[in-house]
Order: sequence, then structure tokens, then C-alpha cells
Amino acid sequence: MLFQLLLNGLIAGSIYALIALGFAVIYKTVRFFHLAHGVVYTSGAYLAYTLVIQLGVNSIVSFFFASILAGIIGVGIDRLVYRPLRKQKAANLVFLIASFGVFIFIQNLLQLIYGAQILTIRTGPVKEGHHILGAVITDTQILILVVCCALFGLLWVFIRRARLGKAMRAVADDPVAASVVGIYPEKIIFASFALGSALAGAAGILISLETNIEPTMGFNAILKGIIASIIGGIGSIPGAVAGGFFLGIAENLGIWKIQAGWKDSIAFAILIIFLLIRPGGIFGVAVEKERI
Amino acid sequence: MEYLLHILVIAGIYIILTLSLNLILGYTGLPALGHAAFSCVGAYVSALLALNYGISPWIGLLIGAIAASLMGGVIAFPSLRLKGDYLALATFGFAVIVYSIAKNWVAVTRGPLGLPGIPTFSIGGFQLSSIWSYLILVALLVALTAFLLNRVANSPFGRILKGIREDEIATESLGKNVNRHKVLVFMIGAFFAGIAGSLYAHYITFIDPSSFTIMESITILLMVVFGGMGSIKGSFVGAAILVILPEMLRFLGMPSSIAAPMRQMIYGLLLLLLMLKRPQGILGRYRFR
Amino acid sequence: MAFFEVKNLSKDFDGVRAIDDLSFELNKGQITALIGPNGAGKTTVFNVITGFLRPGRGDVRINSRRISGLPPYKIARMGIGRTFQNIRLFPKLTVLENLMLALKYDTGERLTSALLRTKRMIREDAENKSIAIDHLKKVGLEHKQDALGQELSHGQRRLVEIARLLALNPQLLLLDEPTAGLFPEMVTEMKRLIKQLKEEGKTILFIEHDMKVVMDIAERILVLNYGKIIADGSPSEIQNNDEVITAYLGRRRSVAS
Repeated sequence: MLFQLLLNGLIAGSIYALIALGFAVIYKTVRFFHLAHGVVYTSGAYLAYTLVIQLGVNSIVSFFFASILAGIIGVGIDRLVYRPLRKQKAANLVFLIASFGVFIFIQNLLQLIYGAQILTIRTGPVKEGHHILGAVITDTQILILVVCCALFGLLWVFIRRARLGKAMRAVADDPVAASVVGIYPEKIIFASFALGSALAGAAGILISLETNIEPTMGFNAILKGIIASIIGGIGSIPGAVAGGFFLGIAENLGIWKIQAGWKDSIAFAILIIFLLIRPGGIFGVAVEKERI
Repeated sequence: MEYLLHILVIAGIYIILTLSLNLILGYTGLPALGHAAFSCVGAYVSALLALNYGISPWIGLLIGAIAASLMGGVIAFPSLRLKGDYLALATFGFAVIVYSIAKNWVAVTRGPLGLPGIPTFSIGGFQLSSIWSYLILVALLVALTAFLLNRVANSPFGRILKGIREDEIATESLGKNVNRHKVLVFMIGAFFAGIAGSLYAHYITFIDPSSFTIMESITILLMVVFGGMGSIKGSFVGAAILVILPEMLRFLGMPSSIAAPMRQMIYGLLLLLLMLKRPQGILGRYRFR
Repeated sequence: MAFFEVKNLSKDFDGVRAIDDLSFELNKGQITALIGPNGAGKTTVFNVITGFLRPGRGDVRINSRRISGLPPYKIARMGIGRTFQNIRLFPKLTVLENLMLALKYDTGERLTSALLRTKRMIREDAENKSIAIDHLKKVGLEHKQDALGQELSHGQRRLVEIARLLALNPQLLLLDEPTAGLFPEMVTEMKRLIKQLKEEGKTILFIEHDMKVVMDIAERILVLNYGKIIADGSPSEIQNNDEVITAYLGRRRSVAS
């Protein structure tokens, strides 16, 4: 029983981690809560649905294509909404609320297009899962775990090694210094939205292999993603992954003893505890303090 | 006609909610995003007192407001150290927890089944059952709320709140206990939100957790942001428009499967345009810092 | 007992010792300058004294009463006021409101007073309004009382910040770079103000980078470097202090090479 819960926690956690990862990549460069990230996640799922179910495109091709499209949507949001706000030097809260406006708009646009009923991209019969140590894990779940971890690894290498990755870190550390050495913040912001949003889209597609697609799925997802980010250390890439797994496991262990209806509360209770006691998260990221 | 009056009553309840959130968010600058949690407490406390102990709704109204106020204090304390996005997230989280309690503490709240048969207000034996009487009651309470909050704002106490919004550190350096004022302003805002919640409970005579979701909190936030941060008149405008707008859409005769997402898309678009063009809202005077 | 004492004050920041076993005393009515190279910890000292940072170790006392460990608002009420390096005026409040926030209210600031709109509150507010205007007159800006904080020029904002500080009626004034960014005429005016405050019995500790100003009005100079006091004396003593010169200019090169 315990092992099954742990397994469930790992799988949920890997999705949370992927969402948090995309969120962190973006947060690192723009430093505000891009709530609309959740609806990019939803878009990924719906785009995959259109490709696979409605157009009959091959699954793997659809996965990549839909993720890339999600990346484009993310960049579109930045260009249309955030960039004008950056030019106005808007306060953080303005970005937050604008992001929320985008969220509601796109979520309901998707509902208008696809309808409010649940959809699914799972095709074929439900296969029996594998038994390990008294727990069951299906092929799909293994696939999700593997893909997620592959993406984590790829991103890690990218951030560490690739020029673009290093440039992103530079802009995150000090935008002015970065521009002095010829790294244009706008370019980097473009890259982080493209990358982060593609990851969100991928997460949306992966979760749809396990559960249903519906317009409101992004809300919970982004909240969990933000919570995971903060738990792990806001803006930290390994933190996002750690936080995601931590949250997934904690939630699933939590509902072992507590009613399932309290699941969301558990997540937020953990969030509040971290905010109060260790705002820097597991990895102890430095939280910006006001200069007096 | 009855329907129009019903809309006005609902608008009135939302005006009280908007006014009370505006004091916390617009006037004092604290991004408290979980306002529906307070009206939830007010509604449930008042309803349960009436249903389980036969307590008069008038007293329930007061006790519900006080309970909501205490909840405000409870939420304010841990939030003292948090700023900006983190405060928003934490207050949001508290609202989720309150909603979860309403939904899961079935023994007390009956969970998703809700509480039906809540008694209405009565004066000296006369049940307030006609919609006109409710309209008058709500109008009186709206006026009272606006009156009192106006007094709070335009006073030395209110000046400290403005100081907190503008610059907490400077305010503290002038000898003002910023933390105490933050807790107080949460409690005041929560108090009036509790009144709105009770009003709602005894008017509709049925409440369930779905009236106090996160979206509710966000709707109230929208009303504050839209109508104008820190403006009393703005609260009226924001609440009125955002209550009447969906009703107008209904009259366009669209099927609800289109009307519902359409309405939300307009909300989203409105928010966007507001933030891009006029973040302080229609009548607001204080932009976000 | 000295008027104001700092004893063995230490403060660590992100692993760096920002203030290192600092001790000094201030006498009443003295004008003392706190100087030192950038990053020496001067503003940090102010932040710890005024309670915005908790001291790691050590003691701060005014009139023998301990203030270290108290929250900032209590320290302010005990007679210590400060200005800020970046001038913290309330941008969207009027100049008058800026000042009135510094004034003391007996009961007028209470919530109950606001709700009941007591006669006392109205009276206190009216009295405080005229007190605020008086303070504005001292810096010659009463004609700007209805301007918003953000509408003032840099020099005007510095003056209003000082006026607001005076409205607080502190015994010890901590001024963080009071002449930074001011035109020469304004600098002269600021120096005059500071000297006048001393005449009125105030004690002043000010951070300053402009050595001319320091030499002109400081009666005593504290020199800070790497969180430690490296010199404490009269202007002429400090001018000839080797360690101070080294701290500012680097190693002293001998004239004959």
C-alpha cells in the first residue's frame, strides 16, 4: 500500500515537476508569477487531442508538434501582453493580474472551441499494469516517468552547457550586466518563454495519457506547479524538480490518512508552511529582500 | 421585475464585498486574494446558528461577522512577513483551506449538500419574505458599510493605512506599528465580508461551498480592480457592472454553453485591457506600486 | 551615562560580518559624522540601530534604555528618527500628509476614533495639521503642502524628508547622506539646517561622502571600514590619520621613489 502511494506520488510528482520546471525557467528571467503557464499546459493537451484524435497524426509526431505549438502560444502571450507591460515598467502585481486575465481568456476560448465535456486522447484498450513490490504501474505511467526524467535531464544539460542556457542564467542573475556583454534580455525572455511553455505543453500532453482533458485542468496544474516551485526554491531548476516530486509524494501520502477531498488543502498547507518557515524552499534560494 | 430586484440585491451584497476588499487591497495595498473565505465563514456561522440553535438571524449576522473578523486576524498574522506575490499566494491558500473545510467537514457543514432551509430575517414576528424588504435591508447595509469604511479611510487611522500602502518601512520608521494595522485592516475587511456572507445566506436560504470558491474570491478581486483601487465609488461601479454584465449576456439569448465561456472571456479581456491601459481601475487613484 | 551608546554590536549578513564588534557613544547635542568607504557598513549600522535589522550581538541604548531587539516603531517612539539613502517619501500622499504621519496622536489614530469620528480626533487632527505646516515653514516649503510627494524635485524631497523627521520630534537624528544629489545652494541650506538643529538641542549622526560638508559641520568623526571603527576623533585628527587615508585611497606611496 505504501509503495503504491509512493509510486503514485512519483508519477504525479513528475508531472508537477515538469510544470514547475517550465514555470521556473520563465520565472528565472521575468521574475513574476506567469499564471497563464497553466493554460499553456491545457493548450498542449487540446492541441495533442486535435492532432491525434481529430487529424489522426502519429502520436510521437503529435507530441513534439503540440509541444512546439504550446511554446509558440507562450511566446505569443509574452509578446502581446507582458512585453507592453515591461515597457510600462508595471508593478509585479499588474503582471500577475494580467497573467490571470490571459488565463481566463484562453481557458474559456478552449472551452468555446472544444466544449466543456471531457475528452480523451487515450486510444486502444486499457492494458494491465505491471506488478512490482505489491504495487501496480502501467506502461503509460512508466512512459510518463521516463519522458519527464528525460526532459529534466535534457534541460539540465542545456542550461549548464549550451550558450543559450548560460545566457539565460546571466540574465537571471543581472539583466543589466548581461546586456552590457551583449546578451539582449528580450531575446532571452523569448527563449525562456518558448522553452518553458513547450515543457508546459508537454506536461499537458503527458497527463492526458493518464486522465481526461477538460478546459479547467490548467488551474489546479499551475497552482501545484507554483507550490512545487516555491517548495523547491523559486527560480531554481533543480528546485522545481525536487519540489514537484516532494509535492506529489506528500499529497499522495497525505490522502492515505486523510480524506481525498483534502488533497488541495494539503498542497496549500505545505505551501504556507514553507512560505513562513523557509521561503527559499528546499534548495534555499535567496529570496529578494527590500533594500532599506 | 422581481428578477431585476433580485439582481439588485445580489449586486448590493457584492458591493459590500468589494468595499471590504478594497480597504485591504486598494487602500492599504495588501494583495489579499482569498476574500470569499471571510464571507464563507460569515455565511456558515450565521446559518448554522440559526439552523441548529434557533438564533435570530440578526444576531447570527453579528456573530458571523465577528467570526469572519477573527478568521481575518488568523490569516493576517502569518501573512505579516510576506510581501507581494507571496502574500497573494498565501491568502489564496488560506481561502482554499477554508473552502476545503466547508466542503469536507461534512459533520458540521453537510459538505457539498449544503445547508437548506435557512431562516430569513424577521422584524418583530414578521418574516422578511418580500424581495422589496430585502432590497431595503441590503441597501441599508451597503450604505452603512460605505459610511463606516469611508470614516475609517478618512481619518488618522486611515492615513496610516495609506502610509503602509505607499511605504511600509517609512511608516514604521515614523513610529507607527505597521503589523498591528495590517492585522486590524484584515479584520475590518473580513468583518464586512462576513456581513455580506450572512446576508447572502439568509436571503437565498441555502448555501453550499460552491458559493465560496476561489473563483468567487477572484470575482471580488476583479470588481475591486475594475471599479477602482481605493475608491468607494469605484467599488459600487465595479460590483454593479460585473454583476449586471453576465445578466445582460443572458438576455442576448445565447445558449448557456456559449454564454458562460463568453462571459469569462470578456472578464479575462477586461482584466487584460485594464492592466495594459489603466491598472488602477475606472475610478481608482492608486496604481499598484 | 552617555546619551546614546552602542556596545559590541555585531551583525552578519549572508556569511559576511557586516558590523564587527562596534562600540561608540554619542553625547547629547553633538554633530557626529559617520564616514567610510563604500560597503563599509554605514547604512547597516543605521538599520540595526533603528531596528530594521536585528543585531547579531551587542547592545544599543538611548538614555540608558535598551533599544536593541525592539521593533522599529518602538525605537522611533523612543526618540530616534532617521532619513533614508533613497529618500522614502510617500509618493502619492501630499506633502502635508507626509508630515502628519510623523506626528504624535494621543487617541486620534485609534480605530474607534475613526469609526465614531470623535470630536477629539477632529481636534487633534486640526492641531496636528498646523504643527505640520509649521515644520514645513522651517524648510521653506509650506507653499508645497498640497503637492504629491512624487511631484517634488530631488532637493525639495530631501527637505521634506527632514521636515518630516523633525515632526517626529526625535532626540537623536540619523541622517543618511543628507546632501547627496543636492545643488551647492541646497547643500549650504542643509548644513545650516543641521547646525540649527544642534542649537535646538538635537543630537545628530549623519552618514556623508562629501568631505567638505563633513569637515565643515562635524564636531566629531567616526570612520568605519569593513564593519569596524578604525578612527574616532575630531576632524583635524581624522584628516591626519594614516589608517583612514589608507582605507580611502589605498596604500600610501612615499613621495620620493
